[in-house]
Amino acid sequence: MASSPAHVTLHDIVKARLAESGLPAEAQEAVLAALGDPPPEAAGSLAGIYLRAITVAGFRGIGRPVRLELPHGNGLVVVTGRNGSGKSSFAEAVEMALTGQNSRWNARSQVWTSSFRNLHSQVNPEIEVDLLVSGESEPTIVRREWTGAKVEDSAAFVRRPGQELAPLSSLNLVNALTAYRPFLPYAELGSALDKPSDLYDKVSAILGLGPLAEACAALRNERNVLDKKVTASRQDLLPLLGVLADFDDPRARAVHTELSEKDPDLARVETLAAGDEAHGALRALRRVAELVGPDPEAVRAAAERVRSASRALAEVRRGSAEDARERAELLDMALTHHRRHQDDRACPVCEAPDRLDEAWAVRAQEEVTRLRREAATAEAARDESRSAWAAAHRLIGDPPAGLPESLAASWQEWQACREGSDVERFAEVGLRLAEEYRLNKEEAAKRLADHDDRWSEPAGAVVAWCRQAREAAAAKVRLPLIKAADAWLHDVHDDLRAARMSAQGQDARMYWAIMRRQSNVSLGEVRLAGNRTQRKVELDVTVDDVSGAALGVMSQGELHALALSLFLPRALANESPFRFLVIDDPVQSMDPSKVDGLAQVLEAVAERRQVVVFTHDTRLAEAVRRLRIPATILELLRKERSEVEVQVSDDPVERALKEARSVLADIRLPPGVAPAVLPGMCRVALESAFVEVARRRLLTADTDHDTVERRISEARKSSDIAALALGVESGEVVGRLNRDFGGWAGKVFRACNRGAHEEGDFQADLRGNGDDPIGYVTKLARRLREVG
Amino acid sequence: MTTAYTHLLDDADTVLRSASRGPWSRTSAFLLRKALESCVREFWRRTQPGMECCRMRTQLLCLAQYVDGATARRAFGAWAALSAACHYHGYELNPTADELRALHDEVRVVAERLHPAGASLDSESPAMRTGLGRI
Repeated sequence: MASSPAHVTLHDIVKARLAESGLPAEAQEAVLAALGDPPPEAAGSLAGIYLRAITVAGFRGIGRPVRLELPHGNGLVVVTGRNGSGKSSFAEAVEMALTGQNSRWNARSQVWTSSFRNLHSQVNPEIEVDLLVSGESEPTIVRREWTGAKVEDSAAFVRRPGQELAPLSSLNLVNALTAYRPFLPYAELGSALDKPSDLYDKVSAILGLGPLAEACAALRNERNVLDKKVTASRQDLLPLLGVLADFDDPRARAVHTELSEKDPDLARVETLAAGDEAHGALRALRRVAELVGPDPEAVRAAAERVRSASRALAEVRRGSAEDARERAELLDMALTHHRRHQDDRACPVCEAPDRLDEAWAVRAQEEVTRLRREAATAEAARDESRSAWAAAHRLIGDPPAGLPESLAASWQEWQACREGSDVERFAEVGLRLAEEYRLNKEEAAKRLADHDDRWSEPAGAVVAWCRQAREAAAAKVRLPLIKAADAWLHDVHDDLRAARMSAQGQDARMYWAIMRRQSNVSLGEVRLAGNRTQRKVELDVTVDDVSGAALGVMSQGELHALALSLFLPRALANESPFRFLVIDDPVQSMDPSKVDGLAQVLEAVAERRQVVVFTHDTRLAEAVRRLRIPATILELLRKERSEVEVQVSDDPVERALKEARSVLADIRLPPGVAPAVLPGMCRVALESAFVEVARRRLLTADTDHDTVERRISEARKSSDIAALALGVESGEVVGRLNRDFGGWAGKVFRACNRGAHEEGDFQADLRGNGDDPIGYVTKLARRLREVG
Repeated sequence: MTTAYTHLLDDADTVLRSASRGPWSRTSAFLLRKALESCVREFWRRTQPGMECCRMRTQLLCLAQYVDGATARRAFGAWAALSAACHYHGYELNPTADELRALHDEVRVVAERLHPAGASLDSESPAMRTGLGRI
């Protein structure tokens, strides 16, 4: 696309300006991120496109195929014809062929748009537009055909020189057709000023600032999002505090207190909301809920063990273990004595003889074993009883810290059990305490659950707000950067926009100044202002030297002229691939003096563009003739059954010849005047013919179109333009003319040129043999045009 | 300058200023056209005697070979516009006061260019000297 270089430089411009902006690095990054990557350059795009011919069949007012051939290159072409002669059909056909749309039809009803077919034609509507692209000798042909009944049921194809038929989209002209729109139909001029944002879009399209405007919007959007985060966290705090204040919960009060701080500690708020550090009462409740009381099973088991130990101890107590051990030791000592003194059978204690025999020794030994077992059992029972009680007492332990009041009494009793040895009391107190614990815990757990259920909602809100507040804090850090980036980029955008618009605005003012003529409305600066939905074109309109006037005071014709002034710079942009401009019916509702102004504006534009104007109003053609503006005037004649014929009614060559003849026909012309004026007048005719031939030859000769127009406008002398037309050096023109057309041709050319400098009798050189006093000139001009 | 065309220009100016009702617009158009034609004839009398007897169209067409192209074009344009205003056209409106004022100014400019201040009626004018050269 021809506009892509503008995009590339846009990135470069922004980068260069960023380097000098003094913006923080993060803000610069934000700008670049918003701007995105530069669009890839479209390759192989067309440039310097001229219209060569428009062929229309079965479309609107045209039945049988009609071909409207247009003169080559820059210049003004006025296509006139009465209403219904098919002018608008041609104008609409060009737009239709290239865009598939027509602005005049866009707003129309279905009934209207479906009647685009010609009434008298059986064939399908067809439009063909021959384009001449810079650097190509053969035309590029765009063809649109209709397949259905509706105007949008069409398909367009293009045949590039030497290539197969391809879809029109392969030309890649869609963006350029919007940005540089080479069509200015009446309907569009009429409504152009109705909607400020539309006008803005149309006028600003060629500034190539689209990506920058989008980047601005992206930054503004991010700024809004950040702004919203900051304010949302602030706005949501008050309602949250209200909820917390009304909520009867220690956590709510704690969170409320923390959130009421100027700079609340969010981590602490979250901890408080979770309740870990909640109020004392709740803490006590949670502690109670978490208390571990005596295990009733353990108490029962311990008591049982004590009981059984006590029973075993009671058994062994009947024969005291001490006694048994002493007797065992006594007998043991007696046995030891007996073994030492085998012969002495007398008892050493009672001295009775023959008592300590073998039988006694056996009995005594058995008795010792029995007694010793008895003592061991008693000792074991005593040990077991002791450890059973120790185990039971261990169950009691120390009272836990923060013991609730309700358990204190039972705990005292329970502790007292550590001193006593009443196993039944131990069991009774222990089990009672365990039960009391259980009840207390259940109650506490129930109350805690109650609290948590009700709390969960506000707690969730608090946590959510904390997240919001954290985002807000992050946003607060980023916001100034984005604000700076946003403000900076907007300034850059507005600055570039003003700079790029100023040239366009000056052009618009110039066109308006030419066209306004006697209008009391003067146009000051044309500025683009605002962004997005507020975007508009600011026109400094002054009526009778009173500034700040509204457009409402302007007449329809003035509005048209103003719209034309605003749109011409767009079509004349250098970046535009189009070198043609089609204007449909610009004269309507203009008063006569503005038609003169329009003609002069068109003359100026035609120096830089191929301007094709369709008009049913004879006033434009009349003004063009009257103001002696070089133009080709084509007339469309409508015959029966939608047959249309194209006639050349006027062109610069024929007009110059006609004028020369009319001067010579004046019988009162003093002698000596004809030799003085005739060469100049005839030279105008020949030069016009040479320009036409030069355009035709060079524009179809693989050359760059802009270079061609520059060379033609730079050719000052007759011989220069003739050389361009004939493709020879200036000095070879006469020889070439003689060779191509005969000896007379060079003589005519020389007579027209030199005759102006030295008066002499050269009329014969111009006249030839016929009645026409400038017969040779006419012949040369016509032969040149035919051959080229 | 107290030649005929300056008087006519002044008369047209007076009519335009009076803004009286009636056929003032056509009256001033006639006066202006007369002024322009008189001014062009005056130019020819000085530059190429005999030409002032030709048809006005001839005189105007030949002007381009004697003065600069822009002046010749403006003279022709003003004359064509005034001629249109002098004739009654069925569908065209009479020229407005503003248009006539503009034409008045145009004729004055053309007159100043055809008769530069200081150019006496007898001496050769700069326009005449450059007349034959191609611009």
